[in-house]
Amino acid sequence: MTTQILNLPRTQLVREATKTQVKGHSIYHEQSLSAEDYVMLMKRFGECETPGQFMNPKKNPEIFIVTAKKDKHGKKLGMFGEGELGWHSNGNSRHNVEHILIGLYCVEEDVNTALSICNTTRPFMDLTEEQQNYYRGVTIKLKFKNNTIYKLKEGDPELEFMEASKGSIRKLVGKHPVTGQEYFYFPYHFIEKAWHRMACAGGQKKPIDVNPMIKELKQHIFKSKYQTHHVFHKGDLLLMDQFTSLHRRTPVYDNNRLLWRVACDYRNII
Amino acid sequence: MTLQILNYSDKEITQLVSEIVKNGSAVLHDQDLTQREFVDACKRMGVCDSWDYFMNPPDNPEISIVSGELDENGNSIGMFTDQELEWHANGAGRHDFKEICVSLYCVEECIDTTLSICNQCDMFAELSKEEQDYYRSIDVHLDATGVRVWPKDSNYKGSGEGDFGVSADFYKETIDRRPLVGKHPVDGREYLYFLIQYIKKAYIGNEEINIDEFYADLWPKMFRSKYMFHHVFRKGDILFMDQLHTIHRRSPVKKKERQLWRTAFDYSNTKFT
Repeated sequence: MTTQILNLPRTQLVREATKTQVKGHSIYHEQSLSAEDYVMLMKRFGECETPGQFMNPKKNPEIFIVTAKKDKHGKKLGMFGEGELGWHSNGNSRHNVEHILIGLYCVEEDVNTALSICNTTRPFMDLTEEQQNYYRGVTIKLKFKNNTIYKLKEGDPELEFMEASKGSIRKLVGKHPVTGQEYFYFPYHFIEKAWHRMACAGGQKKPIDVNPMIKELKQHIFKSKYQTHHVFHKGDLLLMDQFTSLHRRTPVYDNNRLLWRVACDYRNII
Repeated sequence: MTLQILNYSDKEITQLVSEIVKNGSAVLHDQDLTQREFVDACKRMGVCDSWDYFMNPPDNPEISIVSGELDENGNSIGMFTDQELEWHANGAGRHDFKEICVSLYCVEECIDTTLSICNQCDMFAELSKEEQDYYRSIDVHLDATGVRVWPKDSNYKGSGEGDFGVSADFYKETIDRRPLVGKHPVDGREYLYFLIQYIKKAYIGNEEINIDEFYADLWPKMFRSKYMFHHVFRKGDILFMDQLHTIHRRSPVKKKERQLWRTAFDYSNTKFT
């Protein structure tokens, strides 16, 4: 019997959280979790998001249903549909991103759909000190734009949910609140504007043309060597730190694919 | 600058082969190779297969083009086009073959296409001793006739793959069975050779066992997430896969221009110490 993460003692769970924060993700196979078990597990890490949207079951509002399946009236049962999803992480256009641990638990698999995860710490570490200093001085403005990471139709409740966030302004290079590791915060589909604050010019702010910056950083960050890929099988649990990783998804070929997603912080495990 | 395989020392080539055999696969990133250089790199490990099918460039017949792209006449420039491919391995259908390493070099990427690799050696190692002994007692008969690695409900008719020599006669095979559990010629570890579709009959001694029950028993034991590794090719990636320790599948190709160069070779030029 594969070790069940639900049964791990606190000390081991702390180690798993640290591993996830540093590496960007952790995978656990053959987990046998009910919705209640899963929520209980994620609450051992921290407080969970419960926005009360159409994809949150009333009984377990911490869970976000991720599926392309629709009910008999054609109504969406979950979020993210069946199309390809561009690089993103949780809460990209929110002012404060607190729920930086995402859990994805596979209930129904599609062996042709993969989730790619890109570590965001290693690309920063691999830069020269001069490059690191330059990017540390960059501030970005983020806002969700439809038809970028995915396409949503007018009237889709998911579009309403995504567009509700007002956007945020934050540093391109962040320091992880637990590990202190520096990472690129680069959900580029959301980046609208950027500035560079020059220490040598008395902290003067200079606007940056975002497109060349995005082009250059895409080539550097999304290198094959920084990426891991996962095809969910029933019982797989993937944990991803939303600061030290970004993720994307290939198209879904079997609309019965069903994942349970939970977003939480680390307040109960630190 | 990432170390280029062309500049590897003999020791580094041996280390790479050891990694392929140990893990079932190995990936090198950011490689920059012409067709000839790719073949030369593979030949440092062993002798490459060479053919003159439609997907083999005449100047570098060791390479098989894998692509969904069509030429101006609507003919495929490579094998397998854009179909999902079921679990398979090189040499499937043969009871004995030498080219136990396959390499794939990415020339044009499709970030929505995934290659999944399942480790048959790890699977066998985790079985109970009783199960291992049981599977060691089984011989299998392989036959590629009629096998299609793309899904059964697919409309794909093949783009010349049907002309490939696959029969026992073609390969002048003198045996018609092999053990289900093999011992790898390099590291001596045992692997369970579960070549789905290609295994047509299974025997314990001279007694044939029910093939449907054989498949139903092994399928859930083999294709478990924990034995799998997944790769999305980016331009410049080379993936090496040991064809005894692993079996692989591919998701459908979204971008038809995706192109990989494939070689198959043995390890005869690797200097094991």
